[in-house]
Amino acid sequence: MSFPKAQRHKGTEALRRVAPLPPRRFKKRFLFSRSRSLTALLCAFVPLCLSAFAESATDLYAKANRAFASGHYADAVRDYETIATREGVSAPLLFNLANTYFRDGKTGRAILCYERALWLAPHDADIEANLRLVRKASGLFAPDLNGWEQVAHLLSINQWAWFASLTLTWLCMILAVRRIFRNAPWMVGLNRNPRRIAIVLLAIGLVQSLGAIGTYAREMNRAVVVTTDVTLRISPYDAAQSSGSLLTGELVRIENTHENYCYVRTPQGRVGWVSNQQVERIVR
Amino acid sequence: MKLLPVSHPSRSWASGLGLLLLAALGPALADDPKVTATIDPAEIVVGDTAQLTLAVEGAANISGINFTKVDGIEVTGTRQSSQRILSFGMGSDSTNSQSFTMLLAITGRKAGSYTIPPVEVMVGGKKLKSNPVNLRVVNPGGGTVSPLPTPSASAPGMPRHPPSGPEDVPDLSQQPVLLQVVFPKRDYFVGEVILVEIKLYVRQGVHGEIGPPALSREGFTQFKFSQKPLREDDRVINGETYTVFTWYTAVSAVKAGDLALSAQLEFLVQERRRTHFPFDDSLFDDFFGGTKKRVNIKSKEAGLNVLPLPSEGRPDDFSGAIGDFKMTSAASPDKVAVGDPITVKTTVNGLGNFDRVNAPAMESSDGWKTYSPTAKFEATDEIGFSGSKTFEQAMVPQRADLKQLPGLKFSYFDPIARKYVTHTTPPVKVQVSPGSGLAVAPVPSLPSPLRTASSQPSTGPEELVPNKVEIGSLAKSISPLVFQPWFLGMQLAPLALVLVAWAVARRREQLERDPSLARSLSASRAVRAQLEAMEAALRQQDAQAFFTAARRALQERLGERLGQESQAITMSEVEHRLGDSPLLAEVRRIFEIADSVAYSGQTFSAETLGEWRQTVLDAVRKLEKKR
Repeated sequence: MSFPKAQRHKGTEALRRVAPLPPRRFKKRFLFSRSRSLTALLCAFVPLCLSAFAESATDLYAKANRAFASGHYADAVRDYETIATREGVSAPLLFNLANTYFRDGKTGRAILCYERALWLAPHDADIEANLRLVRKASGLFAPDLNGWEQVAHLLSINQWAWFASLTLTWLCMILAVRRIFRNAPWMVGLNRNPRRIAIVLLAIGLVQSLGAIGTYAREMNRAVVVTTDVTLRISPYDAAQSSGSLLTGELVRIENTHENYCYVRTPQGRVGWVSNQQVERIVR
Repeated sequence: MKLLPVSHPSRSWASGLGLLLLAALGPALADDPKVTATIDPAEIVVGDTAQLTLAVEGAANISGINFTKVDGIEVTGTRQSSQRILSFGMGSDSTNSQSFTMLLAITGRKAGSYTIPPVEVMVGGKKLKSNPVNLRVVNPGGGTVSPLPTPSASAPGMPRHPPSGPEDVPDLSQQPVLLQVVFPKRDYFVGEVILVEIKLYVRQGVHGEIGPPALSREGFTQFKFSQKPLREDDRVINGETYTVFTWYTAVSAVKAGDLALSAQLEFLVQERRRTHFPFDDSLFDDFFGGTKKRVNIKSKEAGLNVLPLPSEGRPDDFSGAIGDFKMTSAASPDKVAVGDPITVKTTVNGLGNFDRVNAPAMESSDGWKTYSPTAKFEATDEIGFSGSKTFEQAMVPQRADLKQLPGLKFSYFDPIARKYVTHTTPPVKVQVSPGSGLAVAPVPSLPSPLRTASSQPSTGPEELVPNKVEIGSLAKSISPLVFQPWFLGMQLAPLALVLVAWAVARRREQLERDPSLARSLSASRAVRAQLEAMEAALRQQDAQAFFTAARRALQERLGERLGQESQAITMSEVEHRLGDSPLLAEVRRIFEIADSVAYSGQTFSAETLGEWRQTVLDAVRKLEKKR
């Protein structure tokens, strides 16, 4: 509903009479009311822009899916990568990209993308199934998780982070209230046991979530061998003697870096230097 | 840069003092000491003597040894060979080494093979044991005595076949230091591993710091090289005692023809200066004199003839491996279903250029899907000449009628026999069951159709789950929250809440414990309020309000100071409590003018009020200071 300009002014005057405001404050509010229309415009424009972007990402995604379905894997990879570079990644995008790489015969890149997708969507049955299949087809084996690692992987690292944040907040709030109102009559009359139990449980939850985050943090240096014919070398230079080789798609842990080389360790304990171009971290 | 002596401890009584000093310094300088026993030669004829060397690394002295008697051989003499502390490497990378060497002469009395049990050595109150060593004693003319003593044969971590050929005694006439490159033979093949000894002869009494040697290796590739020498021996040449430091490395020629190798190293020599001390001992020189001189020592060029590999009889699978190798193979499991992988583990061990040893080839792979093997090399010496290389390869049966894994073959060139050798392994029996009947197809030629429902469960491990139709929510990064600054910053809020709560509660408790502090704070607040009221009155030229507020401010401050209710403060009370002080006069003036204005309605100019404002502020400030 909109009023003619004169009427609107009249309305403002009436408001002023009913609730008189200091001149400055009134001016501020008046100015704000003018800028409100600009804000509203912006608010309408930004989602519009965002939806336009989202639409283009969706279009490109659909185009990449069509290219994949017609067997044009290089085109599909290019479009998926464009979305990832321009607007970010999602578990489905990484999953499709991994499938495309696999169909294109690039096992290392496929496993890397599946691992990244799993990082975003842990326990996704589809991603796990394809990763298992690709590993099996490539003669690779997934490293076994120990008991604590299995517990840590019940949630994703971000879920653990939120859990830790919530437990920390509740713990701090209980401690703060307890400290400020320690001598308040209503606090003195309260039963202390539930409060103590809550503090202990929250502390346990916090420690557990921090432990899980620590476990994930140790996995931050995990990487995947993305090229073929990867030679492990005893020193970080091209002419150094070979100490073994790695399969494309193999999981390694980066323990050190030196110029263009990184020192890696496989789950089986084999170690050596490989070129930075031959391995890629799962989480950058 | 630390400069340490090379010295013989038994020359003079001063040396004994030096020994004591070194023994005292020893534990601080050294790592955990260890004892290594070596025997030279390892084979003697009856009546001859071999030298058992006990090298104590990481200690400057020993307090005793215990040798277990062995029938058939006899210890016929002992000698403390040398004690030395040396610095290897230059600058911050240098490492210190101290060692003590004891020599035992072992004479063979009866033919046979003997194992000399570990010798117990007492070092700094600890009992250390050496490694056992083997000695073979043969009858004259009846045995095969090693052609020559091979010093490196017993060097820890070194190849079993040492490079030393006939022991060349270098021409050391008048030379205090000499560098020599030695290798066992003259003819080699391209790619063959050439074991090289670099020997540094240092005359006793020469002090210095030794840098790692470097090979001039045009036409060669070099293997690993230790910075510290792996062996130290004492030798008497032309009546002079020399310490011989030996480094080991290996090279391989990259081209055929007459090539030459030479070595050089940097030696920071300490030149001795004549001291006034009556001792001819290097230890004192190190403390009191000497200048350093950097000397670059070069060896003579040692020539060798490099031959090309013969093309005749070269196997198809020859990958450039040259040496002496053996191959073993194993597969597990031996019962699988079609599509399940079998891991084939093949080990190639022996001596040679392992970097050119590739995975053995399969004689036939019909019905098997094979994957690239992984390789792992474990060297049994310092330079990677001997060891074993293990290949692991996944093989997947594609049919249920397969009965055996195909055999493997591996070819190399034997430089001693000068011919190519091929080793093969026999086929391994396996049982392949039909299983699920679904063979893994890693790269299907035709894509599966796109799935419409992204939440549909996967259909099984053997089929690639199709692509997702919906893109989902996009995130700029997959970097976890715990590494995002905003998230970490957010966690400070609850911690800050606890801190604030703690501070508030503590302040409150403090005020409860100290009523005077609470009163003082309350008074300060009241004084501030009255002064603000005074300022407001000044702006409005309201003299009555100005002086009322001024008096109230003074009353509040005086009340806090005198421990009374501020409302009850009167001039007579102030006079009684403050006594005769200049401050009293100021307070009296303000009180009087306040009374006067209150009752007379007297007015003041802005300038006069400003002056009174300053007077009031001064009085309040002075009262505050007097607290």
